[in-house]
Amino acid sequence: MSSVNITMPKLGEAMTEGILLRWHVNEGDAFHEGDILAEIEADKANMEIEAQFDGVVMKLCAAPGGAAPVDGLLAIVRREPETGVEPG
Amino acid sequence: MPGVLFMTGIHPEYWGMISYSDAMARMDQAWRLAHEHGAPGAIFYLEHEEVITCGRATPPSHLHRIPHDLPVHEAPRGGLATYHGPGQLAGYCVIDLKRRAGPMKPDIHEFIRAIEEGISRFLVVQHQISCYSREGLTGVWTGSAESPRKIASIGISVRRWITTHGFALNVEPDLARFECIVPCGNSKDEMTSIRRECELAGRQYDRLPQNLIAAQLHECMKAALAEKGWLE
Repeated sequence: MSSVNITMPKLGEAMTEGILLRWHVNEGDAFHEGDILAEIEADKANMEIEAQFDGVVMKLCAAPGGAAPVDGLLAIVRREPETGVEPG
Repeated sequence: MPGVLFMTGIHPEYWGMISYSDAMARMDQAWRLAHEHGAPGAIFYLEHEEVITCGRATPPSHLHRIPHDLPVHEAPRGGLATYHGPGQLAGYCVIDLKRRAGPMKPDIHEFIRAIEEGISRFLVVQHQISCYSREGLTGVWTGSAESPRKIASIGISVRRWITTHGFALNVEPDLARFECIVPCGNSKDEMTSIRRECELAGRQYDRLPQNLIAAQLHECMKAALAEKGWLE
């Protein structure tokens, strides 16, 4: 199983932390590449965090309205599908 | 080649008076053109019919005095509540922050600083209104540090590094309309306009047609963005 951390992105050199505005997914939800997972805000700029791959949300680690540092953990997701031949 | 130089620069478009929902639909379409077809950067200048818009994080307590005749829309942009209406020049920016000269990385904050700089330059050059930014805040202010007056508000949204939403410059709106909200979450913010600042300085304000104001503002905006590497 490959789990991936979703973290607070750095939107600019001056950014040290951001606010999680809301989740667009719940724990257990499946998502596809390009789906919006969350919205964050830093310095009057909103940014949508988009899924870079298909997967399932395992754990939401940050609550809406709270601040998180750049690279701080927001959620843990599982990459799907886990089919095919595993390397090794 | 002069022809090539003439073609560069983030291009302006003037939409005139437009409802909030129509403006959102056209802005979203422009975002798709930029994302799917690589359309060049643009700033859309317009005036809204009266509306209150709130960023995602606006607390309900900031909206409790809104008159019944004022529509309220939630806006997926940064910032809190603001008022838009006639006499205010809004600029919606659809610009790919990745398309930056040289090795510069996309940077939302530098983009916002460039927007503030463009508005400030326009106010100084065209109206002799000196302006400043405030540490930790977003927008453009004038007046003294003890009693700052806010003349322009900014709220940006970014998806796939392409911006939407933008700024609103108070040319001569009915400033009393801001009193029914807590503008941008700051209850101490006094709002002002170009007309009011000219009157405070004892100068007459002769308003130009809004499309000419937009053209003047755009020249300053384009230059400020180009200096930060956003050339097209």
